[in-house]
Amino acid sequence: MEDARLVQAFLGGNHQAFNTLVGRWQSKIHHFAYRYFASSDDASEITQKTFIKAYQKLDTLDDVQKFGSWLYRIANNLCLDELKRAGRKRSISFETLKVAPQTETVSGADATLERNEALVLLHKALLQLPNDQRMVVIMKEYEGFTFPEIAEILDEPINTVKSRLYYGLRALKKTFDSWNINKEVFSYD
Amino acid sequence: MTKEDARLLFIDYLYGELDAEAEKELRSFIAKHADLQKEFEELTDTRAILSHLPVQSPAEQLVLMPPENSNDNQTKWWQQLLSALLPQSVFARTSFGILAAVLMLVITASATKFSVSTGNDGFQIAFGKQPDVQSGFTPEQVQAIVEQVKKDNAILVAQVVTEAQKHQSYQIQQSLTDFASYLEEQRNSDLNLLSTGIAGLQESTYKRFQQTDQVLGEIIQTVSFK
Repeated sequence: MEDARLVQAFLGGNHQAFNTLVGRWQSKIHHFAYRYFASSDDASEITQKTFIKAYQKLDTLDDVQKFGSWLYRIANNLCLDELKRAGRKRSISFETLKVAPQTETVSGADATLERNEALVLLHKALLQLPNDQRMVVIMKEYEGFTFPEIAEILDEPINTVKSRLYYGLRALKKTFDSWNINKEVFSYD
Repeated sequence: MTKEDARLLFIDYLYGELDAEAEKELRSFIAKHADLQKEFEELTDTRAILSHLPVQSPAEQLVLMPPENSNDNQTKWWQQLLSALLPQSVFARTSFGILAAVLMLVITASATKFSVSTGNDGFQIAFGKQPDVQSGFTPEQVQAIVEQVKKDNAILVAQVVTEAQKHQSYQIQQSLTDFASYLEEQRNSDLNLLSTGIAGLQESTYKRFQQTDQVLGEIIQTVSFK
């Protein structure tokens, strides 16, 4: 059954329809929040809050066809709220990440170990991006939204979204270069 | 196409959201500029690296339970009834709410005989039966009011005159008393001055008598020695 029909069923009193929607979207929202915070606990908390808010406010959804975008908008707002709430704590942790880590370049080092380190650094590099650029990179790169969809979710012009993505990718490239991360590191996949 | 134009299209091209004609034009333009070619390859490499970002799946499946309610059956019955009666969309619900509020106002106004009127005397809002408002006075009432006003004025003037006379008498009496006091003080002062003058004259006369006696003594003594 499509999301729209499930939403209408829930609004008609079928509670189980909402749990079907939860089962369908939970992993996506969890992955989205996990990529944003690089924390499993934060991701779980944001996911729970997102679905609770959706449960309470689903009757305000104007277009049931856009349930997915609406759900991501809630998750996005909750991520921003969480950043504001714990801004100082998070900014401190981000600061510690700004110190360029020493990557393993010694010849003969175990390739698997190097790859695992690179995966950790990959997430740290993403966390160093400004919040608005990081959000756009995640939505485009991992969630697969089109630019108009991202613009609608973030309530920003399409060109602003593209601009943030461009500068986000450029910033990531610089960080990867400074940490000696390149695509060859992952070539053993 | 300029390099800046090409950079604006990079992102669309990178994610396959550029139409075929624009893509062909962009590819052709990039091929002619090594710096753009390099920049595009860098963005592509960055995407390739990002694709390896690890992710964790949720540990457990979320299940949302409906709120507990002791009168569950009754609540469901009411919910079903309201759900059937009330419109579902936000616009329809808002319109329904406004109409209900207007209807409630009309019923309330009707029950309380609410009325609004304007006239030469101003704006008037009233509930219930409106009292008959007399617009003016009869000639007899006007005459009685005038007579009453005259009486009140006469009494008031009499009181004012009496008070003024009392005040004036008190002021005159006070002035006479002050004047008598002044004359008494002046007389005493003059007597003091006369007394002081006489005393000074007596003292002066006594001193002259002494001087005369002293001179006569000296003359007598001088004549005796000779």
